Amino acid sequence: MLSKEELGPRLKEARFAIYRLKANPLSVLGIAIILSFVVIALLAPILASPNQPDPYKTPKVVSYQPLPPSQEHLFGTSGMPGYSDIYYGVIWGTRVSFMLAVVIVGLALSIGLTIGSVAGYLGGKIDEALMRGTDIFFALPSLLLAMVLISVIGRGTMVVVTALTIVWWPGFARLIRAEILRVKQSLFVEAARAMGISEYTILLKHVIPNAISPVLILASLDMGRIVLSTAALGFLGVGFDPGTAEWGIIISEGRNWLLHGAWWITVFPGIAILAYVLGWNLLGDALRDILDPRTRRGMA
Amino acid sequence: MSEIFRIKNLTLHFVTFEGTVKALEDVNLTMFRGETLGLVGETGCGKTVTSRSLMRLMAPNARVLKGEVVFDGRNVLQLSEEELESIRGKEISMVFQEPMRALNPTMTFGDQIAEVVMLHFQKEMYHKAMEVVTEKLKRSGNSAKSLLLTVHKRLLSLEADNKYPDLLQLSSRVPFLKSYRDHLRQIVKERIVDMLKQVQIPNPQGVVDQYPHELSGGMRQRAMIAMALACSPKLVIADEPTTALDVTVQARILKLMQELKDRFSTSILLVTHNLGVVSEICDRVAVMYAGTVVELADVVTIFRRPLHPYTRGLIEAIHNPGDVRGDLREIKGTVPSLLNPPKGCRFSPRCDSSKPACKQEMPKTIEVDKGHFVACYLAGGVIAGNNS
Repeated sequence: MLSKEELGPRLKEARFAIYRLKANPLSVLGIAIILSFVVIALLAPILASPNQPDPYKTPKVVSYQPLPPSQEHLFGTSGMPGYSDIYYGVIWGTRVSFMLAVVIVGLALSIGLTIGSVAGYLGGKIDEALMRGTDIFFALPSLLLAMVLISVIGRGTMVVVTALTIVWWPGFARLIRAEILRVKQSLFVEAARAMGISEYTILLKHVIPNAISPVLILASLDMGRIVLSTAALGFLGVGFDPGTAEWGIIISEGRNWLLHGAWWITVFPGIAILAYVLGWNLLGDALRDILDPRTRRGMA
Repeated sequence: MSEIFRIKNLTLHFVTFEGTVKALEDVNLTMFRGETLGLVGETGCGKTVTSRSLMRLMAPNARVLKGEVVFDGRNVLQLSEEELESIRGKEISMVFQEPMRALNPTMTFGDQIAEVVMLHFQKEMYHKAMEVVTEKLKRSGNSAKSLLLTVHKRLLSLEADNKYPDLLQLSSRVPFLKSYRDHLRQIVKERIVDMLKQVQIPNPQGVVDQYPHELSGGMRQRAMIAMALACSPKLVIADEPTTALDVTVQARILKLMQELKDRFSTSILLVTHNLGVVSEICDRVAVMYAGTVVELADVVTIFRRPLHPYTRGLIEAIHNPGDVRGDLREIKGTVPSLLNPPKGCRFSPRCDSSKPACKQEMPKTIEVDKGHFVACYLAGGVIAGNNS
């Protein structure tokens, strides 16, 4: 028995949001791309029957030369030394990419949100200490730092997640802090204080909601950028176990064959990366339109 | 008439990178219940700092050197943070200059007012909701519905007493059970709609679900006033409430505030630089200059017989409708830097009739007439002149 009172305003907001999204065809395209990747990831076991025992490794197709696209291998195979089935790699690579992106961005966002908002809102010595800490991470090239961390910790997908989270959160912390510093100067924060609202509630209900939209947009863009980074790591052969269904690894397998005409090894995973990153970028723009009530209701 | 607050010898400095800003120097100000007191002065003369000190809303670099701020029998400067939070919004509330910036852009009007109401009137709202449920129970014949309402009532009473938060957390997710909060939401919404009606907002039912950017400046300021009055405070601090509004809207907002002051039996401290506004609604006026109160009197006396040269300057600077180009008068110079305020009377460098004594020591505040206080060496002379 959901009451009208509860549902009404939220439904109304959702309608404004949909209206906004429809007004921009690129937003629709972005959402369509990401949704199709979601569908591919969900239907992976049906689209390509899972490899036993580990479905996240590509099945081996042993042949000395890469095999071109055929009935049996839709996108062809990679030949020596990976012997991967490209179609399988692209399909299950979607799952791997989503998991990597969601976990890394989720972790980095939570760490960054906590550290950034505490530093920004409390200010003073705490701010100094936390921000100088994050500065250390900015001093080093992030991909290089991630590679160093991986070589220290070991191998495997979890290692990649840990290393990339460690290098990724400072960006979020910085942005959130900057936004909080801007918002906490606002008159409505002072007004909330004058109404007797406690500092904790002010931070949660008045400051963060006004500071969060750029952060969510960055998070959406980073969902794409993370996959560029993991693909780079995969391409360089750092971190992932050999044979993992990861787009970057497959591209690296095609590196030596490209000049011999085996274009399919590079092109299919390359298209996947391109579309995935583009989709998230367009979605980021769409989010910007609907997150802020001023732009969301502006066109209505 | 009983006092609502008394600021006594308040001296407040700001510690900044450039040095110490001597923002308030020996400020004395008393306000009575039910009156409208105007606090007038140029920008940067300490009006806002004085008014915020009543709630102890101060920048982190503010230092109170001496004095006390007694609101309703309690020294605000010595209260704990929790006690302050129970005064802010409930006993003293504020109406700000720019309602657009003083309202949270990501919350609807209804949510913002509800937050304040629930914060200070939680118990009362819960009890009202329980009464409503009891009423519904009496009228319902359906036994299943009665059972549900009984459970709702029980849940409400538990939540009102802050008992078993885990159980309530759980039940607020269970279908049917979770609608117990609807009764409460309904009560709070009724109260908010009633407040919006009081401030003469058309279509209050719709405004509840609107965001600040969707209304005009005047409507926003009305909503701000509704928010300020939502907890029936003893004192409303109105910090330049009409400055950001259209001239045509100003008068209506002022009239509304005056009406509501009587209806809610509250008091208004009106902080402004606009003497026109003061003459419109204030009972008494305190004139501030560079961190000191230079003159305090009832509104008629201030306009008819201003004694401090600064007050006279302010009144002469009012633009009259008959004035044309060149008739606009001004007070020469600017407000001195409070980093290094002038010795003696702080107005002396700009004063036409200053004497050597003015530059030696700050004049004491004297009561020249009943209820008419002036801090000026010349004020005594004016009275002597009248007598001879």
